[in-house]
Amino acid sequence: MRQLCKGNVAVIKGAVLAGCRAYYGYPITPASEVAEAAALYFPEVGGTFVQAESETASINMVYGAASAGVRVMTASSGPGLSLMQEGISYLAGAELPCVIVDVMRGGPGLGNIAPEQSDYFAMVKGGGHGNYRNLVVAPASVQEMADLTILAFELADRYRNPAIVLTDGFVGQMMEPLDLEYREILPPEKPWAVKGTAETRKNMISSIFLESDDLEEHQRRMEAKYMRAQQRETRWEEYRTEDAELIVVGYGIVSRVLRSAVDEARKQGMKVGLFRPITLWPFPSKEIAATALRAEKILVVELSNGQMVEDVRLALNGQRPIEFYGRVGGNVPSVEELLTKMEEQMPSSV
Amino acid sequence: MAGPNVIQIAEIPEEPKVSNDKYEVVHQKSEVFYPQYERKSDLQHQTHYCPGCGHGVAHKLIAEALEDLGVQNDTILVSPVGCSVFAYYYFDVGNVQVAHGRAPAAATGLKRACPDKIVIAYQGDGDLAAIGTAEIVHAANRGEKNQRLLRQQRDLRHDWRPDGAHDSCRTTQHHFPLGASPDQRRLPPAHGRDAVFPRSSGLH
Repeated sequence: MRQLCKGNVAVIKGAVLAGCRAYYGYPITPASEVAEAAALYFPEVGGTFVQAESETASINMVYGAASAGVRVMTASSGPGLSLMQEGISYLAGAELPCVIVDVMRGGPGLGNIAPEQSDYFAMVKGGGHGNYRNLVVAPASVQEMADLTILAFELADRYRNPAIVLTDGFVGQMMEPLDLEYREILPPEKPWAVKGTAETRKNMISSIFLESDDLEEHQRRMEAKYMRAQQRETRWEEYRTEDAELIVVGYGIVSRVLRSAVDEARKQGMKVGLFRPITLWPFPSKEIAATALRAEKILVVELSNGQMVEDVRLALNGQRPIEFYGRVGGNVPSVEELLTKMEEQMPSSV
Repeated sequence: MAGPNVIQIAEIPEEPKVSNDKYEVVHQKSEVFYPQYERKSDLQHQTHYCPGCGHGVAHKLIAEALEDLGVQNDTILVSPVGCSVFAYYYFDVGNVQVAHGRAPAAATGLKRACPDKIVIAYQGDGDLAAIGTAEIVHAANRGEKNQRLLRQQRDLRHDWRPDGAHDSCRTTQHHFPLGASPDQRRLPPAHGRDAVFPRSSGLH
């Protein structure tokens, strides 16, 4: 069914289709409509919605529900995600699947409620304590807010790990057409879960391993599954990169503006192509390297002071010059602004 | 007739014995406890709690209650942080170990996912009444159904006047040589000075 929908609401429509029936959260601008939609739709499908007393509590309610094997989620923005980091570390350590949505706003501290992409380090590189990874997907449209939320549930269960839907206040707040295919997605069986039954009585959910060797073995096993995810789960999109001399890289709302700027640049005869990571962890390093090595120069654009650009630099390992352009504070660059940056960076113009 | 210094001992009926290769367990134990504590790395015939600690008694009472009610298969025990983080060594029920102070929140998620099951959040006083005050107050405020919450005060064996969460001898020994509160430091409470000393459990 085709409908006009807000990004934050599309998250919940995707979650309901994915078989998620439990939402524990605390409202925060610009993510509040996720909780609002959950409060509206989850009871209708026999699910649970609880507004917790804090993000600290909500992530631990998620921990409890995930322990029982149900598909469960929460959503917030930067300040709330900071409070959840302890719980995310425990979820990863106890190998519990769940989906956490971060609709990024301006920071640090209280910052403001306008879009930024400044939680990249916190969500993609960790933020909580210990050796763990989050699986991170980055929607750039209302359609993807639904589709990638469904994917996030699949990835979380496949790897028994928290999955993050990392988007920005712009994508969360904007309204676009949304096509939903009504199909029932049955969550997988989880024989490891603790359900209060005779069959699951011997099961235990824990992240504590007192013996050094036990904890090392646990972490080696986690590393192995992260390696499998890196081999299998990278997703990305390329646009007009075949003959590009300059590759621009951006995710979320930035990729939408970049796409328009690439079209404009092409009209003016500049050979520019767009590389958009869809999974931020695992980061499509091999793919971006393969594409970038066909070009001469890279321009990374973010609503941050330069966070994802570090992963692009690691992927390219010094093989091509990489420039960065960032806007912060809630400012989103215009097509004209990015076109000017592209002109400055075009290899042929130097 | 026995003299005043002779103590008569009643005949004790022989209790069932559980044997294994290393140990012989001679006392009677609830079936809700594991026969051996294999989740521990050694000393599988005894708990890791110190002699005199209240956890042993609290564990025994819970296990016996679960056995009496016949709900062993239906029970999920949420372990806190502190000594009883390892409650899952002993209880042969579904076990979930959670972050410090967050047991009521995790139990909320569990209980709502399994509404017809017994969910027990076992917490010490520091876990429940210090770091986790918000979670326990709001779980109560929401009226979370059928969720058993147990307060287990750690310093039952000490003759100090209980002075809120976390006043225990271990606190004094390991973290705060001068004591965690003015009473323990034998100093008169001075305005503003109480707040200088954080109160924290000795065994995190």
